[in-house]
Amino acid sequence: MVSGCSGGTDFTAKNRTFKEKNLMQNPIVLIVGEQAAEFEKRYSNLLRIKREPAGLDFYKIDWDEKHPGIATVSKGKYSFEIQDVIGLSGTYNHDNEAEGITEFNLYAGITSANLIAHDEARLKTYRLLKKIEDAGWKIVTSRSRPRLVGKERFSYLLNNSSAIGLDLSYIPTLAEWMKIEDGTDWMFYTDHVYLTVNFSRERTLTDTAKPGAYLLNFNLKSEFEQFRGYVPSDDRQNWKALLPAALPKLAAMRTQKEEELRIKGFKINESYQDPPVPNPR
Amino acid sequence: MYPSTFEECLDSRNAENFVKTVKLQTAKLPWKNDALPKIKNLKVSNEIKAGFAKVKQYEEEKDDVERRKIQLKYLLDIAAHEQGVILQPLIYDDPDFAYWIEVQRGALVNWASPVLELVFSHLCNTKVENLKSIAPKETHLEEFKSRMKWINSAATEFHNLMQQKNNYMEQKMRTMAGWVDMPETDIAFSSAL
Repeated sequence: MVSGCSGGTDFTAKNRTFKEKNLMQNPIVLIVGEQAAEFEKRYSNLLRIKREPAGLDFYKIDWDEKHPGIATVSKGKYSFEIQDVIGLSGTYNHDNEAEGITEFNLYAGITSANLIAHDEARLKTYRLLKKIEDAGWKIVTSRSRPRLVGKERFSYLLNNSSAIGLDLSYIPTLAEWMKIEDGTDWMFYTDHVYLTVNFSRERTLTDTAKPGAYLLNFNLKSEFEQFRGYVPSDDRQNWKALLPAALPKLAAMRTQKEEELRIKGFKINESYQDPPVPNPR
Repeated sequence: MYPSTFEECLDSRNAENFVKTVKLQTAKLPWKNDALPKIKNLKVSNEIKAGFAKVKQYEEEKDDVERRKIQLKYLLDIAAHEQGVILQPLIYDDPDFAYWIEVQRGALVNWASPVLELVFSHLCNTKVENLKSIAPKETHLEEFKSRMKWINSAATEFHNLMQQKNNYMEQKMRTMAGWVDMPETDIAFSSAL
């Protein structure tokens, strides 16, 4: 709903002080699981905090598209930087205080320019994804999905289900790139954190002879939050007890699909290992 | 179960072909000559088709985490339809409106003008600041990346609330559903309660 309610505070870049503008050009350090109060303290000048009466807080920073920022995904030796960031939002749920900020959503350009050639978008996106992989993040196949890789995974995605997500072992041609739907995921995991990357493509600019417009969407999620997703929303507080019963179904889905695909001649990556199931104390 | 008749009828929708009663009502709308051609007589858009295809995917999906992802993608498709197919041609591409947005961002009038925002509650124009997703002023609606960010970010927050605070959100929506046929003054009154 877009409505014309009035009110609100002005957070335009132009209304910020010189000092604040400078701070906005320094990398913003994102640590999944950091206590909200710590994060708030570090960026008190920059953050806009939306405290939802429902009990969720969103910690937000927005940049002017023409003056984007930088974010550091801080994860020890797996850390990496994201350039041309135009927005971020951390989610803190008061029900799980000890877990701190369990999720960050981050929005970035592929480059700082408003428009970009589609082929450049393809190559630069893959370069960035490769950088994440090189930093030690491993591509994930969702627990219920067949373990396909490369070109076979890509054609399965186009012809069967986009919910399998992509890996980096096959780089699509430009024509194939244009067939990738908005919101198709590359999912990574390292050290108790999940990272999902996908893009939004401006739907009115899809002629490959002309430039297009893209936005990269990054979602960082704690392992606990990821696994809470396997139990019904009303049972979130009881997820630890309910999780063991929820998982076997997923493995069975994968097994069945893989059997069908083997018959059709697909190669299954038997050596793939799912990220560990958390062992909450 | 989501009926297949919906899909069968989808392609034939056109405000020109509405049944007589509906067409008579539509014809009375003061903006119809101006607006209906711009939004292609309410013909079905690819975004709406993609959105409703996801309803089917959702029903067939057995993995709960994947189901949640489909929910968010459905929300984004519908938002893309509302924003790109309806609002864009109707409002943002209108030179007068684009001018109005620019003016609104002008430093001199900023302090007094309303800001564009998304509202997640049945409370509108409320002092409960937290319930609104205010479009940052740098969100030039004519700028692609910022516009996509605004929509994605608002949808993701809504999705987070729906996933993590389901009871609260459903209760709010029930309140809104109860507004049907209520005069606006009553809405204002009940919202204040």
